[in-house]
Amino acid sequence: MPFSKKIYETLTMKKKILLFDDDFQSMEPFKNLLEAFDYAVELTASAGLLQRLKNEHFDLICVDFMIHLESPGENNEIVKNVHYDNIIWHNTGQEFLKRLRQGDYASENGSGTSQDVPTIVISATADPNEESPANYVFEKPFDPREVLEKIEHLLEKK
Amino acid sequence: MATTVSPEFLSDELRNSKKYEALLIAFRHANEELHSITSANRNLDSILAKLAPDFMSALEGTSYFLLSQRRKIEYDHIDFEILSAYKLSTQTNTIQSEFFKQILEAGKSRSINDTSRDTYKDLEALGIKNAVLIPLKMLKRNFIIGVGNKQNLENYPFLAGDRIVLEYFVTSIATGLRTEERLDYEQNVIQAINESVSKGNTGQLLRQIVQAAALLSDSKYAAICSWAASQNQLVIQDAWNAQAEREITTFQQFRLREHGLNMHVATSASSKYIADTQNTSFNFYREKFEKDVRSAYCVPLISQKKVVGTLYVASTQLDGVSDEERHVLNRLANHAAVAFHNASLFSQSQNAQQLATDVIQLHEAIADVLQRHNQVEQIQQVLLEKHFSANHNLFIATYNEVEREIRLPIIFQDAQIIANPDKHHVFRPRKVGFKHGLIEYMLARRLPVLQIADFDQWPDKHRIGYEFRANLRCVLVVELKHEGKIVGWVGFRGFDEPNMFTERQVELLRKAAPHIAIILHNSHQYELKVGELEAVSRFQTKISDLNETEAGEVSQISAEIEDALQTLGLDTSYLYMALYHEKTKTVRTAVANFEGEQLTKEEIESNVTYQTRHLNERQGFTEWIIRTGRPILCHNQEAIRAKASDNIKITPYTFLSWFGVPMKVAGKTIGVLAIRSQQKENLVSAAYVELLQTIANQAAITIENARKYQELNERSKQNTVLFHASREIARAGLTRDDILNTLIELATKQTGSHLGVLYLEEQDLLEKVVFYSEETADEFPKTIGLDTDGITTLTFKTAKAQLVTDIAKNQMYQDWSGGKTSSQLSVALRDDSNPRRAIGVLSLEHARQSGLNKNDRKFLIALANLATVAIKDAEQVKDINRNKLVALMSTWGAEIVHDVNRETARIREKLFSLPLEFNLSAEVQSELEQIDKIAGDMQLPELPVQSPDSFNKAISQDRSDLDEVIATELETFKKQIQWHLLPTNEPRLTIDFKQKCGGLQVGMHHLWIRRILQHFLVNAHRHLSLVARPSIVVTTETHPTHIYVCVENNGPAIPEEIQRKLFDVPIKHANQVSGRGLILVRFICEAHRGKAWLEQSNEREGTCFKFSIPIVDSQN
Repeated sequence: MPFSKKIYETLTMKKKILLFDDDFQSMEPFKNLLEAFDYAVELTASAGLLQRLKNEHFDLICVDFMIHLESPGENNEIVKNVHYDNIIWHNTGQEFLKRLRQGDYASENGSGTSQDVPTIVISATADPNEESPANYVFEKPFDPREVLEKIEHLLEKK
Repeated sequence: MATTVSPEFLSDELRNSKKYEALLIAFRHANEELHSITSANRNLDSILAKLAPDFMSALEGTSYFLLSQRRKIEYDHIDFEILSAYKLSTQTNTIQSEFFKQILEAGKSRSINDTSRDTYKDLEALGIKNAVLIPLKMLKRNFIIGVGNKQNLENYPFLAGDRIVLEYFVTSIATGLRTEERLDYEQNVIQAINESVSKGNTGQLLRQIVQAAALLSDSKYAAICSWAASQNQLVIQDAWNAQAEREITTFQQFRLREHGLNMHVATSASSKYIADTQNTSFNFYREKFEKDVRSAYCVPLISQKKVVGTLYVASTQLDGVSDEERHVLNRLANHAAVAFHNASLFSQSQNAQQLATDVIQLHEAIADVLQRHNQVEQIQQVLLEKHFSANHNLFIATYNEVEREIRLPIIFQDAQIIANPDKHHVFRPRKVGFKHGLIEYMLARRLPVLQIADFDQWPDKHRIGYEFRANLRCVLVVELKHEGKIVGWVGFRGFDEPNMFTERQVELLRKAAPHIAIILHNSHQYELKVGELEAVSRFQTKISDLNETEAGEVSQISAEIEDALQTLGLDTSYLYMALYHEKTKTVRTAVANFEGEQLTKEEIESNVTYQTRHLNERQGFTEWIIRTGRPILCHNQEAIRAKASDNIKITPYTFLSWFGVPMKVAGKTIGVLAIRSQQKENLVSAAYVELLQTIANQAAITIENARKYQELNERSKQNTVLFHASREIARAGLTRDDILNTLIELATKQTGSHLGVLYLEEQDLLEKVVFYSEETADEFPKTIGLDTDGITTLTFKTAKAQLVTDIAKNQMYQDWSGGKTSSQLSVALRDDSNPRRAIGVLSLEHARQSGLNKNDRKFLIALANLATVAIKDAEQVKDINRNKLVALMSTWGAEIVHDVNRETARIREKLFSLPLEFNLSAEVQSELEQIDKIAGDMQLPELPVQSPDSFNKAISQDRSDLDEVIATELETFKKQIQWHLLPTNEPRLTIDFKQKCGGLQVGMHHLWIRRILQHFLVNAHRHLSLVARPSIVVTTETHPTHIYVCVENNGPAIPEEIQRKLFDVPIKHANQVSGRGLILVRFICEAHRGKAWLEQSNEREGTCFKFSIPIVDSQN
């Protein structure tokens, strides 16, 4: 008996992961790795992202703390990144995470990314000894296999 | 040039470049510091202080601090000392901080970018706003290294990478130092232990052992127990609480009999580790002090194959005694056992010596007075002066056997001497049978000693008359006997409490009693014949001044005897004295006068009648007296001839009189004293015979004392030498050959031998390891086959000591001493795990017959045991050294170096691309070139990644196809030449690989083999530029267990002075850089049970390096 189209789409739909990071060059191999494991991955910290979160659904977000105001993107073009007034650029990710959890980027109809979306911090200034609103905290440089394992764990659980 | 990257990013790149420059410089300095660590310069504080500017610069910090905390085992306290600091806002040298304590506890480095939170107030107080903190635990101190207050924090905070880099710096320096520190401490402890033994300070020794055990194993409690196998008894000798730094005094609560760990270890003679004390069948938690114990380790103390005790540590951590710490304890236990054993031997011998000395002093003190009342007073004075007190209430009784009368010339009652006892109503002279005193009790039962520890509990107390037993609590009386006759008693009575007499006092009194008896007897004789005995008196006075050796004693005594006899009017023209050695059963003539002249030693030995002989060799008068202990008194020639019988075959019939008496001591005959004459009959009247006997006995006692004293001295000297040897071992350094050299030298000198030689087993041969002699050339063969006949091989095969007192009578003796040796002693060095198997032989050769004797045998066996322990220790130290290097190699080679190389490559790539993309100022260009140069100069080895712990385990499983590996490496090497990748370039070089080993598998990871080959190849290549046809040839030789790989080149010879130390010390290259490559090569090979060496290096044949790798079964 054939599956209904809805069930088929649900079963074959790739999980979407957002890598909130401005360092395209160093994070690209990790993006490729996740894609090889059949995830749909977007690597960006561009300013327009915050608005998209209200409509677009991500299953998991990896957050870097240090987000430059501008950075070279996929094709070496200059990208203007997320930035909060009165917050120093290397604490941008922390602020992003705080506001995400507060529900600042949640849509009223629930169609966008949930404020409880699983999150993993991957940052050179992260301190695993301190408390964090994220599910896991990794220091850069990180072991991609370890992070992948946590991602799989979080998404399976979900 | 147009750019697509914003200026912000350009500055980022520059910033990174600068940072890496600083990092590289810091690495280089750290590297230099690490290489310059020597035994004199192992101070972590000063090394870190020197590198502090580099750390700060590399991490862009502006403050630095080094905190230190004295380490209390398993005990956390919050006091920290600021050892060095830069720009801290505190003036004090010490701080208290819960936060830093937690950092140490967690043992993790941290980078903290915002200290405004309350948790970090201790950092804030130091003026630190952000920091990287590295905790470090060393053996005796904990450290925290901090770099803080980042420059331009708003641009970049401290990153995880900064923390990791600093951690690498610090831990790699600490890794080396920690091992050194532990090794140092271990060595110091062992030396201190040995010194304590030689000082005879057992208490201090035990304390040192338990303290060291606690510290080395990081445990809270440590204890040492002694084990008496005969009584199945363990006694705690010392126990230590390292946290509180005090001893545990609740010994009796430490119940060892109830299925305890110590008891198990002592009875099984093997060590035992309990990782979790809550989950074991052994009893724990019975005692108060054990309530926080979570793991424990106990190791037996084994000396001369016997368990002499146990060493125990207990930790409050679960699985708290690591594998390495247990190894350290095992090593400590080896030394502790020997020390423990020696200390008890030493104290035994000291006690014996002291007792003998006391008896001799007693003898001296009472020997020179003859009148009975003075004599008795003298005895009283001597006994009370040193050994007993007035409270012991001395009494001396004399006994006249004919009259059956007891007199008490001296008696104390209630610590007061009774004046004029002859008139005392109780103690006046009495006939036997009239009263019931202690003496009557002894006399009736023929008791030589009466010792009553508690008179109230004594069942026979009612047999003693009331006047003698009132208030009596304890008694010690010894009978005085002379020539089988009772002459009196000496004793003590305690009225204060029971058990007033120590074992030592009892022993002393028993030993002194025969002496007192003789003196009482003599003084009795004196009273009878005052005049005649004056001579005896003088004789006694003179001989009381004791010589230390029998030889010295004999010559003095003979002169005194002669003098005494002449005073008595006796003719000593033919005086004769022979001495008998019971152990060797030999009779030696000490004095033989002939017509008034004393024969010399040589004359005696060349005379058939007098020469030294075995007791059974001849059956003359002397032998008969020695055998029977009876005198021979012949007044005329006829009587002498008439003595001939079955037992006397030779009679001195040329003499007209022959009066010989036995020289007796403690019932044993040790010689014969005879007055003879070839001119007079009836030389001695019957009255003088007793006198002659007395003189003979006096002389005997003195000689016997001298013998004992000499023997004791000998033993104590040997013990001292043993302690000395242990100490020498500790000082000799840690190479096996140094230790063995020291031991052989000691053994040779101590025994007066002319040479000493040590062979160790090496592949079915005995290989000469050490030869020592100051006078004889070494003609000994380098190796001896085990099937060769000889004393050495016999010793090895039987694993038993062989003593040959006269080599002329031994067929097996092989002479390599040029005919110099007359006696030989060989002992086996026994395998620790199997005492029946020898691992080597230690031989001494002496120029005199019987120059080596049974005493030497005992001594040499003890020394051989010490040598075995030393060899084992040295091997373990070698392992430690190897592991240490492996640890360094792994830390540097694997972790840091790998990362640095990757980073360096990245930087160089970036640096290369920067000028292509941007217009840079000349200044920036030159700076970049500088950075590039530094990065390019970094030469670090590439090694496979392995942690030190897993290293040994891992290498045992490595397999490689040797032909394939060599071929690959040679290909790579050729490419490196082709692509100009080597520091020097020699395109003419030919490289050949000959004589392959047919695909055999060897037990070494292919990367290690390539690393070794690479080293030899690059080295050879470097030295080949001056040669006309430079060539390198690699060949393999297949041996039964190993494959040898030879790397030959036709370059110039290596200078001879360098050749010897190539594999042992860093070699300075022309560019002043120290090369450790060959040491690494050697350690890599040794770690894989192979070897590396320089086969040859000369102008004619070129240079050939070889290394061996074990062959492995490819199926296994």
